[in-house]
Amino acid sequence: MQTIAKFETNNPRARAPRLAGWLLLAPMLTWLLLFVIAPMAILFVYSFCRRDDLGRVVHEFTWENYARAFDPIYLNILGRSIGYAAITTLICIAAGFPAAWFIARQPPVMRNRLVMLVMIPFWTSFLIRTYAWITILKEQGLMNGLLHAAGLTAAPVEFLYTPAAVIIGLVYAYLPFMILPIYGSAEKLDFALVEAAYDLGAGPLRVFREIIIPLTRPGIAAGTLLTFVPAIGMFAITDLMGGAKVPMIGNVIQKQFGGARNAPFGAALGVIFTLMFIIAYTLAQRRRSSEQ
Amino acid sequence: MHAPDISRRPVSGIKMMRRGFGVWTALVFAFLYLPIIVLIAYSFNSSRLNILWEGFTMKWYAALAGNTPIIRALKNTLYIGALATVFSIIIGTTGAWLLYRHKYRFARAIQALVCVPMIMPEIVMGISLLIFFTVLKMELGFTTVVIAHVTFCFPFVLVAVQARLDGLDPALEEAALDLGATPLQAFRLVIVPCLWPAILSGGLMAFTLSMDELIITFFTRGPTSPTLPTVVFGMVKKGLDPMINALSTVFLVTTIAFVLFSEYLRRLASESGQSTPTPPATLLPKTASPTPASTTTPTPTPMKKHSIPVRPAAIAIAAAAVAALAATSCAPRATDKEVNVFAWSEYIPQAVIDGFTKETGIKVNYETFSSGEEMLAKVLAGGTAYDLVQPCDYIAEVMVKEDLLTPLDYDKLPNFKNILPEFLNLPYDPDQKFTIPFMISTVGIVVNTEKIKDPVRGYADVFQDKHKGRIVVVDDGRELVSWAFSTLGIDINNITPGNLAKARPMLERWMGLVKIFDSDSPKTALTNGDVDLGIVWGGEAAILWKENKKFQYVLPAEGTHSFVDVFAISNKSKNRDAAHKFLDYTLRPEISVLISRDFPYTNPNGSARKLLDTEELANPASYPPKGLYEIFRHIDGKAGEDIDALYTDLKNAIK
Amino acid sequence: MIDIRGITKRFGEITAVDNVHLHIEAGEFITLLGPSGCGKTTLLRVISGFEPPDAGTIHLAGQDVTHHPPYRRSVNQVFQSYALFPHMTVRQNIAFGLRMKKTPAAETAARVDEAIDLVALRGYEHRRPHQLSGGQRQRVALARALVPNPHVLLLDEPLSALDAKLRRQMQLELKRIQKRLGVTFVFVTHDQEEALTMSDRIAVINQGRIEQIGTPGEVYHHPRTAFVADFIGEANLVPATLASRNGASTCVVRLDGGLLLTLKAGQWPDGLRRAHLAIRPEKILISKTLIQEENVFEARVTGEVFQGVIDRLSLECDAGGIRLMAVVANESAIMEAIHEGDRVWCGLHSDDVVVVP
Repeated sequence: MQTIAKFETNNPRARAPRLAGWLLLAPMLTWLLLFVIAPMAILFVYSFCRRDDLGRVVHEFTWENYARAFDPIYLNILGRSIGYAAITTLICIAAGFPAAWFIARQPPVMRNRLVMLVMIPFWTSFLIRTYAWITILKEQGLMNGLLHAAGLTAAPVEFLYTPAAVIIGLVYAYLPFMILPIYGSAEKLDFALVEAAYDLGAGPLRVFREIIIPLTRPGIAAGTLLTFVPAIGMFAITDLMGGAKVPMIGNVIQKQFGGARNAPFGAALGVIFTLMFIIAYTLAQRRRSSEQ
Repeated sequence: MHAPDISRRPVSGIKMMRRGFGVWTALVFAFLYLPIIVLIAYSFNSSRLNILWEGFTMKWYAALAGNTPIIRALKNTLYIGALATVFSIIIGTTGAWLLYRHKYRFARAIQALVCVPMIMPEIVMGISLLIFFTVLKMELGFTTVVIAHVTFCFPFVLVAVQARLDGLDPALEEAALDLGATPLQAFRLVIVPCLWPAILSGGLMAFTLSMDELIITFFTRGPTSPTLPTVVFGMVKKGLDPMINALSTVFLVTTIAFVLFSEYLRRLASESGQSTPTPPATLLPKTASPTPASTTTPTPTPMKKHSIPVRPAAIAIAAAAVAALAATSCAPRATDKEVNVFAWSEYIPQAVIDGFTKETGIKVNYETFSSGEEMLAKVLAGGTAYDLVQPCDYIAEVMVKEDLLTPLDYDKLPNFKNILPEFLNLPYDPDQKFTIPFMISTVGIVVNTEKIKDPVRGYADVFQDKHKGRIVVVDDGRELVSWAFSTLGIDINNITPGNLAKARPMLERWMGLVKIFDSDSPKTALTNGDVDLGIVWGGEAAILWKENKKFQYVLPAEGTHSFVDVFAISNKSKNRDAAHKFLDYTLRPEISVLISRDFPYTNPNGSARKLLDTEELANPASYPPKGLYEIFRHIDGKAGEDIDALYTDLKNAIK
Repeated sequence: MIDIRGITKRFGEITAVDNVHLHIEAGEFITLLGPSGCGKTTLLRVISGFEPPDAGTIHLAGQDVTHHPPYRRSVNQVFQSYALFPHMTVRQNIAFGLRMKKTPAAETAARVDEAIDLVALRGYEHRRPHQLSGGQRQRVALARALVPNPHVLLLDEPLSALDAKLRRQMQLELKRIQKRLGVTFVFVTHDQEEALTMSDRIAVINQGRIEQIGTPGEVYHHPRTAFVADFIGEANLVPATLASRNGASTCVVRLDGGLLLTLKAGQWPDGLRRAHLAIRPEKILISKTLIQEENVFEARVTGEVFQGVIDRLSLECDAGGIRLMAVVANESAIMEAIHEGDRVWCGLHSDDVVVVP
C-alpha cells in the first residue's frame, strides 16, 4: 500500500533555486523553525530531564525516560494505535474514493457544493457530533431501534464501547480528510483517458484499477497522510466511543503532561513518536524516488 | 453457442459503475449527515441532559439568543478559524508551489518537518508552544492562538495542493512567463486558479480543524480569547446543553443554505457580467470564512472580468488580520479594572460574573480548564498573569509548596466568616493562609435501582461478576487505586510499591468488569442505560439524582474520600484588590447559593446552605451524612509514576 | 534578428546543444529540423529563456538577452501541448500577454479581436479550452502567442497533435499568417515534409549540432551529409569508391557491388576515396525500353507499392545486385505499366547524384 504522499518535485523542469527561491520559501521555513523546530527542541531537552516531586522539570541529564519508553507495554500500545489508524485509513479509502470520484465527475457548480457539503458537518462541535453517535449506537439507540423494527435482531446489539464503535468514530472523523485530496486529484484527471481505456477494451473494473487508481494516486497518498498520521495520535474518540478501555499512544502521552505530571517522560515518548514518523517518512520517500 | 456480445458489455458496465458510485456517494453523505440530523433533532429536545428524548421545545434557541458568552466564543472561533485558514492557504500554497518549482537542498527534510505538526500529539505541541511563547515573552491571547492554529493547519493545505501539483502541465507556467508574466504574476494568475480545487479543499480542512481544536487552544489562549470548543467542553460536566445543538443547528443551516444558494447569489452579484468567474474563486472567501472580515469581500464585477476575485479579498482579510493582531497585543490594561480568573469550566454561573461586573465595574476574564494538572502546567509556564486560580486540594498543596500563591488579606474578605469551620485548616493549607474552599464533593457509587435490585453498599458489591459490562467508573488511576486501598484497609495516601502490588490483583479483576472509563461525563452511559452501576464524582451523581430519582448515590462502606476545590490568588496577580473583591462577592450567601443551584456540590458556605430548599439539601450526592472525608494529598513523583505505570499496564491487559 | 553564438547546453553527461551558431533574419521562417532527441527543442527553450545556456550568447534585435528571463524577451512560444490556461476563456487566454504588458483595455480588445479574426475563431471567444477541438486549440495558442507582437515566434512542434489533413491546412495557414505579419518564425519539427513546405530556411540538427542550413531546395537537392540526405526526403544511400578520373571533365565511381556511374569531375571531392552516393528515388528514370541518359543500367523490379499518384518500385540492378528504390508517376493508362518481375532500363543523370562524405 502506498502510505506516504509523494513530495519530491515531480516537475521535470524543476531546478536548483537561486536566492529568490530561498527568499520566497523563507517565511515557511521561518515558521517551521519557530513553531515546529523550536518547540521540538524544547521537547528534546525535556526528554533528557528529570521531574521533581512537585512535577516540575529539573534540568539533570538522564536516559531513564527513554529506557522506560521502550518498555513492551508502550510498544504494544503504539502498535495498537497504528493498527487502528491503518484500519481506519483503509476503510476511508474504500468508502471515500467512489464518493470523491463521483463528486469530481459532476458539473463544476455542483462539484463545489458537494465538496462544501462533505466538510460542513464538521463545523459542529466534535463533542456534540460524538454524543450524537452515542445516541445512535447506544443499546436503546436509533440503530438498535431500526434493526429491531426491521426484525433483524431480537435483542439489542452492543455497538457502543466496542472496537467497532471506535472504528466507526474514527472513520467518521477522518473520512472528509480522505475524500477531499482524492477529489483534488480526480477533478483534474482528463476523462478522455478513461474513455480511451474503455475504447481499448478495458472493462470498468480494469479501467478503475489500471487507469483511475494510478492517476489519482497522489490524492490517495495525500489523503492517507492526512488520515493515517493524525489517527495514530487520536484518543478522544477511542475514549468516548470505546469506553477508554484500550489505551492509545495519544492517551499515554497526554497523561504524562496531565494527570501523571511527568513531562520528561511524555517528552521522550513524543520525541520517539515524532522521530519514528520522520524516519519512516523519509525512508518511504527515498524508496519512492529511487524507484523512479 | 453464441459468442458473448462484447461491444455491449462495457457500456452497461460503465453505466452500472456510474450508478453504483452515485448510490455509494449518497450513502457516504447519509453517513456524514446521520449524526447531524440527530444533533439537530436534539436541539428541540426539552431534556436538559441532552441524552433522552423528552419532548419538543424551542427554549434552547431562546436561551441561545440571550447567551452572550457563547455568541462571543463563536465569533472568536470563526475569526480565529478565518485567519488561520487565510494564513494557512498563503503559507501552504506558496510552500507547495515552491517545493514543486525548485529542487531545494534538504527538500526531503523540509517536507518531513511540515508533516510534524500533524503527527505531534496536541498536548505536546500545546505545551511546547506555551513554553516557547513564554520564553519569547509573548502575551498569550488571540495572536498566539492564531499562530498555533496556522502551525497545525497549513500542512493540510500544503499536502492537498501538492497532490494536485503532481501532474500539472509544466508548460502552463512557461506559457505565462513566455507571454510576459513575471513569475509572481504567473503564479497568481495561472497557477493559483489551476490549483483552486485543492486550495479550496485544503482551506476547508484547515478551517474545520481550527474550528474544533481544543487542547492546543487551551495552552496558547489568554484569558480574553475563549473559543467555542473550550466552552462546549466545559459544559460536559453539567451535561451538554442542547443550547450547543441549537447553536450548531443555526450555524449549519445558515452555511448549508448559503452553499446551496451560492450559485443564485453569485448570479445576483454578477447580473450583467458576460464572463463568469470560476466558481471556486467566489465560493471560498464567502463561505469558508463567514466572519465580519470577509463580508467586505469585493464581489467580482463584470468590469474586472480578468481578475481573480479572491485576491483582493485575501489581501483585505490578511490586512484586517494583521491589524487585529496588532490591536489585541497592544491594548493597554489598567490595574484593578479587570480580573483574570482561571477556573474549572462552567463552575461559576454567568449570572454571578455579570452581577459582579454590574456592581463593581470590574471586568471578569473567565478562562477555563478541565483538569487541575493542565491548569498547573499553564500557571507554571507563566505566560499569563492570572489573578484568581481554582486548584483542587492536592494541586493547591503543590502550588503552596511552589510559592505560586499570594497570602490572602482577610480584612478584604468580610464574608469569609460564612465558611463552615470543618472545611478550614486542611492539610494542603494548614494555616488557611492562601486558599478559600469553594466546593466539596465526594466519590461514590451510583446505582440504577430499576435495574439493580440487590443492595449495593460498597465497592465489593459493585465489582461482582454478574455486573460485568454494566459498570462505568471514572478514568483515573489514582481513584481506582484509592478504592482498592480502602477495601484492603490501606491509607489512601500511603502509595508505596508494596501497597500497589497488594492492590494489583484486585484492580485487575475490577477493571476486567468495567465497561466504560469516563472522567468527563460518566452520567451519559448511566442515563442512556448502557450501564447500571457507576463509581463517579459526587457532582455527576447529584445531577443524575436531580434528573431521575432511580439513580441512588451510595457512599462506599469500605470508605471514600472528598475533594475540595479552592480559590486562591496567584503570586503574579496584578489586580489583587479586584481579586479580593471577586472572592468576597462569591462568599456572599445569596451569591454562593446561585453557584450551589447550578452545581449541586457540597457548599462549605454555611449561610448559603440555609438558603437552599429541602430537596436540594436532601440530595445525598450533594450533602452526604458526613461533611468531609479523607482528602487526597500530594504524592511524590515516584508514586505518581508507579500508579500511572500500573494503571496503563492493567488497561493494556483488558481483553 | 536572432543571433545565436556558440550556444552549448548540457544536461549532466548529455550535451543537448553543442556549440550552435545560427543567424536568423527578420521576417524569416526558419525551421529547426531533426529527429526527436536531437536537441532542437532544447535550443528553442534556450532562445525562449527557459533553459540558461552553459556557454554562448543570444542576441535578439541587437540586444544581448542571454540572461533575460522569458518574460522579458520579445519572444513568444506556441507550446507543443498548447498550454492553454484551462480556467480562462479563449478571449482571456489570447488577451493574457497584453494584460501582462498593461496594454489599455480598448487597444487590447481591438488587438484580440484582430487576432481572433486572423485565426478564424470568431464565435468561440467565450469558450473554455476544453470545449474546443484540437485544431481550434492550436489556433488559440497561435493567436495568444502572436498578440503581444513578439519579434520572434517560436513554435514547438505545434502541429504534431493534428490529423494529416488539418495539419496540411494549418501549414498553409501558418505560412500565410507569417507572410502577412512579417514576424520571424522559428519552427521546430521532426517532420521533413512540414519543414520543406513552410520554411524559408531549414536548419537540420543532429545530436546537438547543426548539420546543414539552407533553403528547402538546397538541403533537398544538395544535402551536405549522409544524415541530411537520409533525413530530408527519401534517398538511396549507396557506398561507393572512386574508380578513375577522366581528365578534368568526368570521373567514374564504382558502387559497392560493381555498378559503375559516370559523374562530373567536380562532384567527387579531391583526396576522398570512399563516399556515399545519395540518389533520390524520383530521379531514376525507368523504362521498359532502352533510354538515352548519361548513365544507363538494367535492373529487375522486385517489388511494387501503389501509392496513388506514384508507384514505388524496388529495383535490383543486374550489376552487383545493388538494391535501389525508385518512384514512377502513375500519370495515365497510356503509359506502359511496370509490374513486379519486369525487367527495366534505368537512367540517371550525373546532376541527380549527390556525393556525401
